[in-house]
Amino acid sequence: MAAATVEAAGHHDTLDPKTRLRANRLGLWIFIASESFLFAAVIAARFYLLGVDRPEHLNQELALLITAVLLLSSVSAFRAEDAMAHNDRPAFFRNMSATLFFGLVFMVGVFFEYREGMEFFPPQTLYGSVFFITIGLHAFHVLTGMIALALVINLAAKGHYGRDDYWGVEATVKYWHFVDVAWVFIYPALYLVSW
Amino acid sequence: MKRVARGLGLGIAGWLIGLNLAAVIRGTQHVNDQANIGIAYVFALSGWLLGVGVWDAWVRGWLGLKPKAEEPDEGWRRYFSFCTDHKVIGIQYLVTFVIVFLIAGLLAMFMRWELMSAGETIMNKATFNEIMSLHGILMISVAVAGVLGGFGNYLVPLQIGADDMAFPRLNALSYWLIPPVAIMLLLAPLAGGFDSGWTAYPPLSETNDVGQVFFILAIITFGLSSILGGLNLLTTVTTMRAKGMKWSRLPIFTWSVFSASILSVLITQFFAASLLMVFLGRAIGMGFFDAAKGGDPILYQHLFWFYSHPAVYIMILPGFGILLEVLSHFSRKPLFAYKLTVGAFLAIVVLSVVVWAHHMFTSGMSNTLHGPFMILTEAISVPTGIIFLSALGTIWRGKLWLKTPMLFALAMVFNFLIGGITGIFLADVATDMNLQDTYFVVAHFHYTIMGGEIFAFFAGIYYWYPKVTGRMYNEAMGKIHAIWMFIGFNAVFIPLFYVGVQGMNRRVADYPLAYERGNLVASISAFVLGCSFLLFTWNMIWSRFKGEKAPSNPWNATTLEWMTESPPPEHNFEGTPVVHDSPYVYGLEDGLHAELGEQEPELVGAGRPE
Amino acid sequence: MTTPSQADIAFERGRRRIGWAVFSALAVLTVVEYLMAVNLSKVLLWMIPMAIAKAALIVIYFMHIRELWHAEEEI
Repeated sequence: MAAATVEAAGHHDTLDPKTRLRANRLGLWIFIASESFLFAAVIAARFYLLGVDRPEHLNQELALLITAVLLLSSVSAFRAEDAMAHNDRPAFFRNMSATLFFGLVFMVGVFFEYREGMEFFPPQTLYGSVFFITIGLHAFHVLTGMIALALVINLAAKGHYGRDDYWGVEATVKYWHFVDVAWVFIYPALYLVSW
Repeated sequence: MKRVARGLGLGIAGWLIGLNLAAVIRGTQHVNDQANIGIAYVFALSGWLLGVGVWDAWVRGWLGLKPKAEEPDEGWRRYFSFCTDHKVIGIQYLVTFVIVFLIAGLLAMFMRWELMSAGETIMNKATFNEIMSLHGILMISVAVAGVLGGFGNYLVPLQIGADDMAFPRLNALSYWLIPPVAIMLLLAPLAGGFDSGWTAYPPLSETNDVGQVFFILAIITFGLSSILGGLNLLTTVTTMRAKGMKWSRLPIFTWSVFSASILSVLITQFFAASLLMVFLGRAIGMGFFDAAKGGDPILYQHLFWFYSHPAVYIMILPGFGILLEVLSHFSRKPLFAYKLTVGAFLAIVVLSVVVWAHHMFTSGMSNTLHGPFMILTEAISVPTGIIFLSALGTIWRGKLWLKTPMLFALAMVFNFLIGGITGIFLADVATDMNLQDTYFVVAHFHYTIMGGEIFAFFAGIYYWYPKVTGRMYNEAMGKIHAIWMFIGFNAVFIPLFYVGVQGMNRRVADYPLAYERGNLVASISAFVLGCSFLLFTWNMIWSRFKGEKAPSNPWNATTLEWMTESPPPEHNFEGTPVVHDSPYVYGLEDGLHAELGEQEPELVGAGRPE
Repeated sequence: MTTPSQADIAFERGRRRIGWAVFSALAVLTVVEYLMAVNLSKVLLWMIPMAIAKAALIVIYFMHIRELWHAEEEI
């Protein structure tokens, strides 16, 4: 869905490139603001239903690990965007692939979380409901972000993008950072809070 | 045309493939398995969207394929294609939602027929509940997207002097998300219908027939459409204003659309999230709202009203915009207290997200919340009052020109006054305890949204009809419609206040004999009101073909949309608009809102004041 | 396709430092969060400012939110 806001300069576009970039950026930021309300809704449900209780069985080590992986992926995404902004294509491919790889590792981690969750708090229980809808929505966003990353890498390999025209890269990377920001709130809400 | 057909084909194929695939993978046999329906819908929606234009407009580019050159449709066929012209999309929205409005109005006629006398008249109670729910949600969608999607798309680029929206393809996408919504809602009765009202409260909405799943999927799609539409409008107004179009010179309608879009972009997610929770509760037994699993149905009400209360401002703010626009142009006076009114719009945006629990005074939520929500709710009447004062101040000592749009606008001032005043009794905890869930609420809500927004919608339809179609509507028929609708509307809903105060419950097909007289009056008036739309429909269709040719500015209005031909050419303006002054320069010596400068063929830049 | 200039490379080094500096701050905050959650109780009121700080770091340094009001600036 993030990529839906990626409006490249199309055939009917009469905006000058600077205004087009401003419009694209603003549109993406608005989309991100909107998405953050979706996560706010499920996190609010968590606190409403469960207060700050958390179950006994939470795999804290695994959660810390995938959090670290996701944070790392943000650094590589940041550097990939910077590399494209300065026409350093090898660095771009290195960092972009690293981001995609970290994303994959994160998803594998989420898969193990999912398996443990099914065992200790299946979705028919209250914590399970909250846990699975939140993790599920977030994983869906990670997945779409990974698809976008793969598409951007493919396009760059075909020679698209450059110092003056890398909106596709920028948008994908921003979306990826947003996925990280969402996790920054989801992680303490699901794993850490207590009273 | 071809693309729409392809989209339909792929959509149906996606539905069948998804349904079977889900059944095979999940090992279910039951056709009505709700998770399977959800999966099938995702497939169907993807197929429809890819077929109708997403593949050509986006996916080819993402995959690095060469863009396909396809002959764009011409003439009337454009309205059935993935056309990116904001004017075409505006008309698509307007026509779609006028049709939905007429269908939902017809359902209301059946409801009033049933309620004409006590006991079961023409349908059983279950059918009544389904018709009531369908009427509710269809009308809500008209109210949310009719003005914002229709007039917002058509007029905002014109009023700010732009040649299109910021994201034209996204704009087309947000329209083409609407047909699946309509199809799902209208198919729902075949799947057992949904009888939980447009609010879809659990536990009922978690346990009733499969039609509810259709409702949930449709409304989540509709939410996506409003978010994308709002995003587009916000970006357009921010980045594409013509030279000299400062924020303080925006026409008030554009401001109102801007404010409503802020709300629709942010809070719509809450409706989607709450319905997703209901869906997951039904499909795989998640326990958010199931008290047996430790969940809490009141959570749904919080999430739902966090969207749906601000949503009434998504509906009414653009209505206010049209109202003030029409009042200023037809009073030949500058808009009274323009800056204060804009401030009031923005204040409403902020306040409207902190008043939601006044819908829940009787729900059993914590009593400590009653006081704060009562006070906040009553506080919102301050900015609303400012808007009202602006309307009155604009008419005050103006030279009123009583054309059809002006009649509708004046009617709206009266109706909204009643709607607003009766709202105080519902915001106040003590009186609300008695009035909750009675016809008093129904009448209040219809006075604000139908008497307010829908009257403004019709004012807008008549006001901009010459611009959109290039023909004048029939003034005599228009005036008769305005007066007819005004009288009919008040005759329906004033009796409903009366029976509501006496305690008649809403959303029930039957009632004690004591309420019969009020209901009889309301029902007869409802048929009178309903017939007025036949006249309207005839006027619209007849004038489209036989009406007088409209000049570019039949109302002598000042805003930019009147400075181009009727209907506007594809690129909107023959020159580059340059804005010099406020949009409402009536009666001012050498007042000039804007003029068309030299044609600059290459590029149109941002309108940021240097 | 041009090769990066000297100025680009120098700039890139500076940005790389920012990337790792922000990451270190995020990592430290995360570890603090984790240790508090595992060892202490009643941590909600500490989690909120830490999460907001982390989000702010990402939004400001990685997502360049300032571009919304400083349009002309280099990212």
